[in-house]
Amino acid sequence: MKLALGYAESVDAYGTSTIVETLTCAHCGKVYDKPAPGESFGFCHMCFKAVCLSCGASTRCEPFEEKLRRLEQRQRFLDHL
Amino acid sequence: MAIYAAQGSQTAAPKTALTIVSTTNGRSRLIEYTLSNVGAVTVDSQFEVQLQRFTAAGTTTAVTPSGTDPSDPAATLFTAGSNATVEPTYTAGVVIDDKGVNPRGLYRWTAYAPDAEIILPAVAANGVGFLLAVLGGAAKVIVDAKIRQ
Repeated sequence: MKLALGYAESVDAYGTSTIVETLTCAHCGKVYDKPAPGESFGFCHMCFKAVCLSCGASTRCEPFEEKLRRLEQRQRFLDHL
Repeated sequence: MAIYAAQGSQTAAPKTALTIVSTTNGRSRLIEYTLSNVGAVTVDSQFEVQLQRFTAAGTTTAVTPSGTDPSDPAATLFTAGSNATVEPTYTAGVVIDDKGVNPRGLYRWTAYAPDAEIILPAVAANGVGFLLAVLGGAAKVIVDAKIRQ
């Protein structure tokens, strides 16, 4: 499985740094904290990528890059009108 | 591939601190951002910043993205703006990241793998904005973003 890994660092008022791993949803592009072992998580069995819980609840596979491609295609069409 | 830095600031909420605006030349990618505060903290209350996509860029003070490599040419795939006076048209219900940050601290997010990067569409006036949703005890919220093109 390809994990879209990122890191988030929070420094609190006392200067204490906390680092967590994040994932980026392959369907909507949302950044969310990587679920701990045993926590529920989203996963698309079609594109085989980690997705957020709300996208994971859907049965559709709609990769984010495909959404971008459609958006750009639509704009190109409108530009030529 | 070149990496550029763009900084925005905001002192009021709900208003946008920084916008990254696409052009039709190609897709750029947000790879890192830092949220922090400068100035005296008024109360011990968090500020909230939401990273959202927009379809119209609004009106901002232009920011010239600076290349991290001085030999890189000027950014061509995106423009940046700070301190929005007319808010971008955000896509309803789509929040990429939403963080409450103690004004005495900071928050930094970095994409470690290419799949984690936040991709901007190659559509004019589309992009992402850092909306300061709640000012809390912050005086001036600074957003520092790194964008790859």
